[in-house]
Amino acid sequence: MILGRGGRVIKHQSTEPIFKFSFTLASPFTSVKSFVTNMNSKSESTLPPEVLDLIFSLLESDIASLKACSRVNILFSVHVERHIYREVTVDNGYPQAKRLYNILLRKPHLTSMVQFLHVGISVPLNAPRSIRSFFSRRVAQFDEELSAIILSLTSLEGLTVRGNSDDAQVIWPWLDGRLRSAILHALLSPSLKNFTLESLDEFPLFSLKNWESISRLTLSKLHSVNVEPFSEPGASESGQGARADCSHICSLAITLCCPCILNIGAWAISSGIASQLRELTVHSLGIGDEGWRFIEACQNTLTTLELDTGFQCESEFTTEILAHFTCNYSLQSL
Amino acid sequence: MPIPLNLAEYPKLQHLCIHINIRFLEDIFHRRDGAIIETRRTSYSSVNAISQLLQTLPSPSTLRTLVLHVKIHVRMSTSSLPTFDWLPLERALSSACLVSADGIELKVSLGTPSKMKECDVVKLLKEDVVLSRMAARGVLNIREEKDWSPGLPWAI
Repeated sequence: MILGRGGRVIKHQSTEPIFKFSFTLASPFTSVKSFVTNMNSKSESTLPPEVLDLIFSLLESDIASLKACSRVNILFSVHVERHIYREVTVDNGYPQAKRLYNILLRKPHLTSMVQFLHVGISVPLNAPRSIRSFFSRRVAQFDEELSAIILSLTSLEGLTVRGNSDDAQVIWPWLDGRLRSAILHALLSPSLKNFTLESLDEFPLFSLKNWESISRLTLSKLHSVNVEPFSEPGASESGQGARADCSHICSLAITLCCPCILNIGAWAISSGIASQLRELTVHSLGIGDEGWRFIEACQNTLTTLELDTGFQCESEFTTEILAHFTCNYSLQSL
Repeated sequence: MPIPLNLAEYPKLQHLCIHINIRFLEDIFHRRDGAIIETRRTSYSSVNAISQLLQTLPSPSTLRTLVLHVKIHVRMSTSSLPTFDWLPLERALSSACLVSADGIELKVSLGTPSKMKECDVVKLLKEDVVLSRMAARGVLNIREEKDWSPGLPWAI
């Protein structure tokens, strides 16, 4: 050890090497590579994978931090990947659908990591012109990529399909045929447990009879639902047109579906949901006779009930607060 | 409008969450001479309906948790809670606390965006004589619920 003025250490000489790995001067690239490899092997031996997973799981809501972690080293990158892709949101009106499609093409192993998919659907180009004119900002451009993404995911546990519009509802029959088929196909996945349908009208509810793995259904912000016998192209042929049993659904949430709650209630009774339902959440202004009848029909099995019947407010009050809400409904429809 | 349910007919019900909407509507008139006339109206209908519903709970009951989510709806400009008669809410809670095994959790949210804070309402509720007695007995837990986000304006 060499001491400077005042006893300050200016050079440390030790027989112990500071780094336990050595550089070779023959090839700088190889040397750096070996350095990274050493760092990786050190990290791997320091923290068990389950601890790393636990740490990264706490960052799942912070994608920027996860991305930063993935740049630390290869080991981190591998661990972080599954947390970044665990929950994915994609929209057919934005180029991100195409970007995600390209990423999944390059890294097919990611398709098994996506557990929760949120699909935003903008008004498609094949929608009636009079309706499309309402939507100046976004139109569906990436239906093909979005369909391919949905079809490629093999471990989905939750699927949310949400209509994106500012002035009116997106209607299921307007969607591109490939996109409809892809969504219906995804619902067949044996791993899928939760299905959420939001702001997308005229979805064929009786098609749910084919997807027996789904146990939790959320219907949100719907104007209308299709309760006709199911005959969707691309779906299972068996039982088409028959009002089959939907009793595999044991948890149902109906949120802000005021205009169609009567139809939902009638469907829920006739499809046998009431005989198995354990959890029911209803947030709706005006539940109506069919709605109350449905709740009564569940009385023998219900263990959890959440009820919000709201109340009507005068138009002046509504006008004042309307600006503070994102809403797809039109008040005239009530 | 009453809620046409009889909770005595739900033999397996363990968790019940009821939303209570309390709305304050202030009418403010600006007279030409500059004076401000202010009137206040309050809606109790939701509280009364829920009070009646809770009275249908059987005793003894299978109920383990009862959550009452009180949502206060006021105007954006309202900065303090207008005068409100809490008696209907007290009645509802008094009957409900007899049957819920784990007591009652009273969550308080603002149903509409306002200058008010949830903690102001919680403070007011905790000052209520009946509610404070119930809280002291350990059958009522009053807390603010900030995570709740209002849905759509007509559903309040």
